Amino acid sequence: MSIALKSLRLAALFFLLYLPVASADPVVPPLTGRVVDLADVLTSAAERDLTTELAKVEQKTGTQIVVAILPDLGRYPIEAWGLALGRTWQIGRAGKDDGIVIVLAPKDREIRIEVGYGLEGDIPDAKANQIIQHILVPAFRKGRYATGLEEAIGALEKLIVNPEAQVTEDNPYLGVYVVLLLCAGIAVVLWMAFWAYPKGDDRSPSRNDTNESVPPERDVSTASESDDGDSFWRSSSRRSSWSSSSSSSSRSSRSSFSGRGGSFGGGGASGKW
Amino acid sequence: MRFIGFAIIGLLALVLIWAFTGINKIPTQEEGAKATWAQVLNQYQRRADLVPNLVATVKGAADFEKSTLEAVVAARAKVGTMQMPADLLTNPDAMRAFEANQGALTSALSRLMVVAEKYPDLKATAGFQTLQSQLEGTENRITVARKDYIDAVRIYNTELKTFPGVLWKTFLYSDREPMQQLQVEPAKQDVPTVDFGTSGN
Repeated sequence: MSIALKSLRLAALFFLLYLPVASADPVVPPLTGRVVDLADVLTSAAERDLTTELAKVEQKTGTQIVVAILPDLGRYPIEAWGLALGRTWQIGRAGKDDGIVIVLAPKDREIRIEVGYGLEGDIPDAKANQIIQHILVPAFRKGRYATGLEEAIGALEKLIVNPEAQVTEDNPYLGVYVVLLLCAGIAVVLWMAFWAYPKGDDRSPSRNDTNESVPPERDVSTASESDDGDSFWRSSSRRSSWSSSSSSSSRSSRSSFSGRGGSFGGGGASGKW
Repeated sequence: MRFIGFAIIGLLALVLIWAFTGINKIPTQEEGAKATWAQVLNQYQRRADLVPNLVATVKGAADFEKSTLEAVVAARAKVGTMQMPADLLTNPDAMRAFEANQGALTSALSRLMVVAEKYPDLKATAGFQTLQSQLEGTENRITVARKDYIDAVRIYNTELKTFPGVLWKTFLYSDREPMQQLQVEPAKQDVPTVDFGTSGN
């Protein structure tokens, strides 16, 4: 009996010793929904609206977008957070790797759009950077987190549907007009060449990705209210098991959202405000 | 007594079966590590491809600091002409040279970006902003690719040196050598602890 107890204690000790060594990456909070607001900057209504919008985006394009609002970067660069969150939560579809994680750290005034492998072509770093500089940063400076995020998600969706879309309408740079003019010329030529080909606009749901099994487990109505969801998981297990099981807390089990196996390679852009 | 004999035989059989399931581990993990290395090379190439554009854009800015620009061009040329022997991954000297050359380009580029801060006209152009975000993105991808390689090599090298992998190495894969590990830059080495939730509110 006492031997069993002793060995158990020894095992626990080893486990404790091992933990700090293993955490070279940020410790990832559990995925409680499409919007994980650990800094409490969104009202629950805004959170619900964003969740609904993100669910719509996934339904329409298949892309999973998750917003993570962190209380603190904890001296890790925000890029490390984006990668750790995206990979641990496995946002995006397996094989397609088309997930996006928007990481927001209001205290550090930093923002990052982490783009999955499969979307790096549709949302190149420069476009992600434009979204940050022209949409998110101006909104965040005024403290309007919800509006900024909503517009950014709209812009991302536009790019996913049509990678040629412009991020902002009024661009203050002359060079862009020149490029636009050139693009217009090319577009006209292309249009004349392929005029019969139907051009997809924002509404058309017929992007070829979408016929690939839309997730059956989507559950928009029960958006998670993560009012104080930042303390319970610290004591629970540290790694990897969060997205798969919802056993550790009854709160998170209400929301059935989970990643679908996507992976990330460091694409995207970061910014400060 | 008989029972103990059976138990020992059974245990041995179990250990053997367990060891046998690892027969393919060394080649599998070797291929995995090589794939992550390919990604490292891929991202370095992507960065090297950005440099000519960046140099051309920066050159356009009036009286841009010449020495900075020349350092970037020189470092880029060195990376482009660098010899990459076939045994790069297991050859410490070749790996050190590779790291030195790429590191030189890294620091030349970051110096260029610092100097560019002094040229507001240049910084305001859309072309420069695009290149800047591309460069930042590529540097970040390099960091990620290196991290993945480091992880994969750690697993592979451990397999080569521990039981039962060491058995398979002796009998079947005696030509396999441990791969060279990359150094994490000193600035990124300290591992801070994070404390969630307590300071956010």
